[in-house]
Formats: sequence, structure tokens, C-alpha cells
Amino acid sequence: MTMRFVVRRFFELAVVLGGLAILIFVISRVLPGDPIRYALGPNASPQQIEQMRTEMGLDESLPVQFIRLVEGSIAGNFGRSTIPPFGSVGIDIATYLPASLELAFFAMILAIALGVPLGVTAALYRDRWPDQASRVLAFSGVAIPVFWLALMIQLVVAFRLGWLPALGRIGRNVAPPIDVTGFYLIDSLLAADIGLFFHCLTFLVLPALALAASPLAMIMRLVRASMLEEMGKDYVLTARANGMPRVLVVYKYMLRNAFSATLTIVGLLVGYFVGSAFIVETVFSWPGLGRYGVRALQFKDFNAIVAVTLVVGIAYAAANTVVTVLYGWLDPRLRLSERK
Amino acid sequence: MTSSAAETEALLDVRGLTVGFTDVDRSSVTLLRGVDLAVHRGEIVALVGESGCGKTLTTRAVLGLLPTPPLAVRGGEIHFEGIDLLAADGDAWQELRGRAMTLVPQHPLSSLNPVFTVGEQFFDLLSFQGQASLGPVGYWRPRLDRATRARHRAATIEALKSVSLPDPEGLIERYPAELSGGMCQRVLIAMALLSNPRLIIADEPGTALDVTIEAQINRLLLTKVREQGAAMLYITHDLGIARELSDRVFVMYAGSVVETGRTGDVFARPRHPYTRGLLDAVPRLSSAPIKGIRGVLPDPKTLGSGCAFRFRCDYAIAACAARTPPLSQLSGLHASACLRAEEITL
Amino acid sequence: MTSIAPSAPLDDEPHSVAVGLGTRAWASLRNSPLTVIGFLVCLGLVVMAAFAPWIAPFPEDAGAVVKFHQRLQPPSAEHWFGTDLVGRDVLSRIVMGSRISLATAVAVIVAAALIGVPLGVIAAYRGGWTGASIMRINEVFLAIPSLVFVLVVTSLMRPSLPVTIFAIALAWWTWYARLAYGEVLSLKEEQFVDAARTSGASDLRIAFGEILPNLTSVLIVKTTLDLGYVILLGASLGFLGLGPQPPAPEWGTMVAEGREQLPDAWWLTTFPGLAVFAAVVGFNLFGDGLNDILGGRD
Repeated sequence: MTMRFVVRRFFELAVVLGGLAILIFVISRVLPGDPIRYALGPNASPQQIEQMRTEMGLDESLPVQFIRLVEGSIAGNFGRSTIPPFGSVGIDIATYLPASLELAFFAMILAIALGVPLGVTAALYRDRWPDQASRVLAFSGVAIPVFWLALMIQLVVAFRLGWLPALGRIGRNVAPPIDVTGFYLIDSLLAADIGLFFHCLTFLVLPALALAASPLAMIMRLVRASMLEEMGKDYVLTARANGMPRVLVVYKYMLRNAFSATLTIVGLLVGYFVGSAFIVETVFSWPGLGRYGVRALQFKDFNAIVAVTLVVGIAYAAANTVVTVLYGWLDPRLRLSERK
Repeated sequence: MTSSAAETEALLDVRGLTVGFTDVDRSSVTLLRGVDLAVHRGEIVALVGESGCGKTLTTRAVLGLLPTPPLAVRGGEIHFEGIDLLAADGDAWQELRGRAMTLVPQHPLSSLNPVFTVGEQFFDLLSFQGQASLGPVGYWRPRLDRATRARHRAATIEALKSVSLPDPEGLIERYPAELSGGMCQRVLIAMALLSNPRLIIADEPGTALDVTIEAQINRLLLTKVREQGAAMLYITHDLGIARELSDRVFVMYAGSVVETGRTGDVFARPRHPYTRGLLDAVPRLSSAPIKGIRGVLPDPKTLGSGCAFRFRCDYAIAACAARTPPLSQLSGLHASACLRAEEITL
Repeated sequence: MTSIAPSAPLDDEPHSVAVGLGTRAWASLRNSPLTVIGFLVCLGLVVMAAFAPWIAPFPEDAGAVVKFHQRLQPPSAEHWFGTDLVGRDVLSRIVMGSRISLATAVAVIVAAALIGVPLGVIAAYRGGWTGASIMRINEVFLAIPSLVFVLVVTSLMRPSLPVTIFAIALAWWTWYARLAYGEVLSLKEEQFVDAARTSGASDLRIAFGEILPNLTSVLIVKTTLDLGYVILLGASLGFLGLGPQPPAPEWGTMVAEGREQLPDAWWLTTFPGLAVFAAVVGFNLFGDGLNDILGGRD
């Protein structure tokens, strides 16, 4: 990956994030509805409201407010929360983000690890029963409301069968591992506590499954479609005619090509993960940024809403950058044209 | 097919090969209508015909690489060195492909995998060619073994040198997109010749290239095939190349062979109106006007029995529609599938 | 080859069968019962919404009715989908709720297409500075996931049906702009556009009179699929308490209300969720089938 490419990509990213900051600023300042009044309740006096407006800097001119917002975002200082316990939004985000990342990463791995082989199988058995089954799974996967799927998984597996815990990230009386990465799974392994690792895993599985279902279906379908496209390519025929084993042609030669085509969509899936995390975390009481965001939204926690939106935007953009870089790394043609 | 001696000696012997598929409306469509074809050891055989007549399909069937489904072999036999491949299981084919019979493909630029270097693709060939199955351990073992890597690298360089490619060491690191069509085709020829195959199937290897490059590639193929004592089945629509290259020729029309014989005989005295038409359609560097064949290839969906060429034939009679004329021997190796081969003068 | 067919006249050349759109549509319908199922589900949804008060056994249950004597009853012959915390019939509420879902979906798609398509066409056709700025703005809207964007917009206003529609449409136009942009960009170079230009047609005429009609089938497919996705998004919004407020029988809101009664009163969450699922599957299958019939890409 050339330096120029990285620099250009970061520049594009900065432009989009700058735009996003403007958009959020406009939305939060222009749309009707007064979060301050809401936060303080219907009985707040005008003085209280005025005091809070001053505290939050809402009494300043719009350009000044905007500069404050950008400054704060860069420094990680988003002001105070307007709902109890009125903590620092920046610290809240730092607390809740790792849990969200852990859930999202695990779900992503689950979706790819299951979706790719299922997609390959569906393509190899085109129009036979594995393919038909994958089609049904795919339609269900994209159509199923994630809040409903999450509740149903919770209802059946956790409440009825009692196999796995229904709520939270760790048992009520269990101490979390020493914080190194913020990922309980990794931290428990670093602490060489296998028991704790499996304990945390039991909490992670259900929300991750709910989060992974739809992306899994999409990845499966995309891999299937790309694999079918690759099947007709000349290089497949030549490789087979030259005596390469079928397994090698399918899982190395074709899949590598098919997967880079699939990757372009994985960027969009990241957006899906982020959005759905809001819902899944709420259902499973997962102490992550999504649940924090939903609470902020429900109680009109002004600063928290702005901060969560920006963080989501940054995470989304960063994930897409990673995907782009990965795509370039997987497809030498792109690298070659980049070099020229 | 033509004599009993040929039957026992043939390297590749295809008899009555029938290939078709079932269309969306459940009707059955036949694409290859009983192809008879034989290639003997060390012989160069040309398979000629218009685009769409089933030449490429025949080669894919011979290689056991028909896209099934939707296509399916409906009948016939494919013998290679005496073994009936259609009766044997799929593994028999896998052992032959790449080692005993290989392919030089039609589109060199897209026939190498775009995401791997030339060296990587040679490495896989050298390590796994002909294997029926492969697991992760089997895949990584040669990659992690320094001696194997060195040996394969040397073999790759040797192979690239043998097809006169410059700078083989540098070429190993290159991706196919960095190579020209002619270079890709040389790489592909090197791959096809890697384990001294007995039969090389060249499917219009020069069609996608410039005329001068095409000539170089053909010369290279011919030299290598003669050098290794292999046989070659050369598919082309170019009669000039067929005449120049081959010992024997098969003329295909609408999914079956309509004429065959020694190249010289067939070209000097064609015994099927279609062959005559093809010869007349070859542009020459003279002022004589080119005669084409009227009409187009019939649609295999609606083509019933009877001679498939009768719609375009000046010599067709009512009997031509009654049944499909078989390929019948005229003299020596010369055979024609025309009912009137004996009576008409072409 | 073996059967002897009656000899055909010599000049009888075999013809290839001309396959028209109708034939192809029929063939794909027959080969894909899923498309038919999708169509029937969509039709059922429309009929249900249109005649909701006549179909629902207890249409008054859509509002703030209290029937304490029959609260939290499991599914029975009288109440197929059971009753909720205050004794309202869940089936009736689902049937009445179909109006909310369908109205949201249709309103959003119409608004989004009306804003997005012209902007996309202009951006692609004009290109240059105008096109670049439209597409940059578009990218900014896409910089956060649609759900998050819609949540933020609704939360800063007072949640209600119009606000839901406004917020989703505000996020959704970007997809239509993108689609139109991509299509027009490739169509722009086609010969018929050159022909129109040579014959002196104005830019406006070419863009909307010549190019836009070519987007029809793509837009029909996209719209059908999107109706489902908007229903899904609307329900998610309702689930998080940011959709139309109770007592409105919004499907997502109903699931959220029923969630508090888990794990005992499972029917409160199961059936409204199934309704969303069925609606989205229906539009998905139908849209996919339309795509095949109209010869779209996979």
C-alpha cells in the first residue's frame, strides 16, 4: 500500500467526518424540541433552564458553538451528561466502547466464519437442496427484525432452556479480568483464567449470534453469487485442466477472487453492525456504547447523543478504511493500478 | 472408427459423444450430436469448424470438465489410452489431467489467476498436480519446506526458459496483469508442458493474439510438441493454420463431425459440401471474390434429425431430411457424413 | 438421431423462438413459487391495511382501551394471538398496525425517491462542481448507519408518525441519489443519448425525458425491496421507543411493550415480530422476483 494512497484516504476521511460534524451540529441545533427542558423535567424554572444553557454553552453564537464541538471532539471532551449521574460523556464512552467492540468483533468473526463456507457450499450445490436451504436462510436473515430475533433467542435459549445467561456481560458476583485490552475474552486469557474466559463467552454468544445473523446471511449470499461468477472464468478451467485438485481451485483460486468481491460489501455490513448493536445491546443489557446511546436518545441526553453519533461515524469510517486497505491487499490488480 | 488398427492404437478415441442440457422450459437440447474423433500418439490433429459448432465443448468433454449441471453427457464413449473415462470414476480423470492431457486455453489473458503471482501458480501445479484431494496439512507442507521451495523454483525457471520467456527469475514475482497476451500464453504453454503430457489440447491458442504473436505461439507449440513426442489436438476456425500444422483434420458442423481425413486429402479433395464451403470462404490474396456459406448455424433447440447442413446445402435432396447421415469411410482415412459423398463432385 | 422424423421441406429453416418479456416473466414465475408467495404476502398486507377495521375482530383495541377482565390471556379461539397487559386483542392491534407500517413505508419511499432520484440524475448528468457537491453531501449522510441517523433525528424531536416518516426519508434519499447517480453515469455514454443531443434536445429533456425512463425497472425493484426495509427500520424505531407513541399499535412498539412481560406472555412479542418478518420477507421475495422478471442484475 503506497503512502499516497493512505494519505489520500485519510484526507477523504477527514472531509467526511468534518461534514458529519456539521450535519450533527445542524440537526442538534436546528430541529425543533428542547432537550434542556426535557432533561430538567416539566417543573424546571426558567432560571434553571438558563443556567443549564450557559453551562452547556448553548447561549453562545452558533459558530462558536461549532468550534467548541470540534475542539471537544478532538480532545475527547464532550461535556457532561444531562441525565443522572451527570458524568463526563467522554469517560462514559471510554468505559462502554470496549464492550461494544468486543461484541461487534466476535459477531463479525462469527458471520464470516459461518457465512463464507455456507456460501461456497451453496454455490457448489447450485439449485440443489443446500442451495435452496441457503436461499431460505438468506431471505429470513435479511428480513428478520433484529430486535425480535434477539428477543426470541433470549426467550428460547436463555429463559426457556436456561442454557446460557440472558442478560449482561458477566455474572453478577464475578469480578471482571484486569483491564488490558478491555475485551473480557482476551483479558481473561491474558490473566490465564480459562474458567473466566468460558464464563464470559457464555454471556457473549447469544448477543453475538443475534447480531451476526443478518450479516451472515448477506455474506453467504454474496459469496455464493461471486463464487458462481468465478466458476465460469477461464482461469478455473485452465487450473482444472492442468490437474489442480478441485479443493485447491475452489478454496484457494476461486474463493480468493470471490472474497475480494464480497469485501466491498463488508464495509456496508459494518454500518449494519453498528446500527443493530444499539438494539441487541438493549435487549441483552450489554453494557456497551449502543445501550448507552439508546438511553441517551430516550432521555434526550444532548451531549451524549452528539458524542455517540460522532464516535459511531469515526468507527464506521475507520472500519471502511480497513476494508478498503484489505481489498487493495487482496486484489493485486488494484495495487498495480495504484502504483502506476 | 476408420480401421481396426486405429482403434487399438488411438491415444484418444471419442465415439458417438452426445452432450446436451435441459432448457428452462424442460425441453431437451442436444449440443454434441454423436462426435467421433481420434488422436493417435505423436500426431497433430486439427479440429475445425465455425464458432458455435461444438469444438470447445468437445475439448471440455474430453478433459472431463463440462459444466455439469446444466450440461450432461447423454451418450458415447471417451477412451484415453484404452480406458473408458466416462465409465471410470472422476478420479481417473483427475490423475490424467495436467499429466497425461493438458490444455492450452483460448484466452491467455484471463486464463491465469489474476490474484496470484506466476511463481505461486507454478508452485501449486508442481506440488499438487494430479492429486485427487488435498488437506490443510498437505497444502502447507511443501510451502514450509525450504528444499521443496528451492526445487520448485528451479523447475519453474526451467519451464519458463523452455518457452523462451525472458527474465524468468523476475517473472516469478509478476502478476498476470503485468504480462502481455503473448507472454501469458507462453506461461500457459509452459504450464501445459510441465509434466510431459501425451496429449495437448490447444483450443484456438492464438485467436486472441496479434497475427504475428499468433504465428510465434503456433511455432513454439509445434516445436515443443514435436520435441516431447506428444500428440496435439488443435482446435481452430482458421483453415490456413489447420493445413499448415496438422497431420489429420476433423471438420465439425452443428455438433457432429462431418468429414475427416489426412489434412492434404481433405483440403485437396473435400467430400462434404460444408468443407467445400469452408474452403471457398477462406480469403485469398487474389482478386477472386470470396464465397461464403449462405444461412447461419441452425438452432440446436429446433434441429431435429436429418443432415444438419441441409438448410444451407446446394446439393440437399429430400433424403437428407430423413435421417442423420453417419460418418462413412470413403478411402483410407478419409470419411464423410454426406449421403451424396460418392455421387457429387465438389 | 435415431428417430426418423417426417421429412421436413427443404426450405424450412429452423427458427429460434423469440422470447418476449411476457414469456420470460411467465417462465420465471412458474420456476419461482417464492415470487408468487412474496406477491401474495404483499397483496395480503395491502388488503389488510385497506380493510383493517373490518378485518380486525376488535378494531377498538387499536386505541387506549382497557379490558382488565381479560388481561394477558394466551392465544385462544376467541383471541388468536392472545391479549395484552390491559386486555386488548393482539391480533386486532396487529391488523390495525399494518396501516401504520404501510403508511410509513409508502410515504418514506415516495419522499425519498422524489428527493433522491432528481438529485442523483442531476449530479451524474451535470457532473462537475454541482455533481461533486451533491455526492459529497450524500457521503456525509452515509457516514453514519441509517438506523443511528434516524434515531438521532427522532430523539431530538417529539416522536410521532410524521416525525418517523420525516426522519427515515431524510436518511433514505441518499440511496436513491446513489442509485440514480450510478445508473445515469453509465447510461450517459450510450448512443441514444448522443443521438438525442445531436438532434438538439435540451439537457433537461435528455436527463429526465431520455435517461430517466431507463431507470424505471431498477427503481421498481428498489422500491419494492425498500418498502420492506423501511417497515423493518420503522419497527426498530418503535422498539426503541422512538416511533409512534402508545397506544398506537405500531408493531415494534408492541414488541417493546410485550418485552416487559417476557418470558411468560411470549405471545406479546412473538406475533407483532412475526408480522414485521412476514411483511419484509414478502416485499423481499416479490422484489427479487421482479428483478428476475425485469432482467435486472443479481
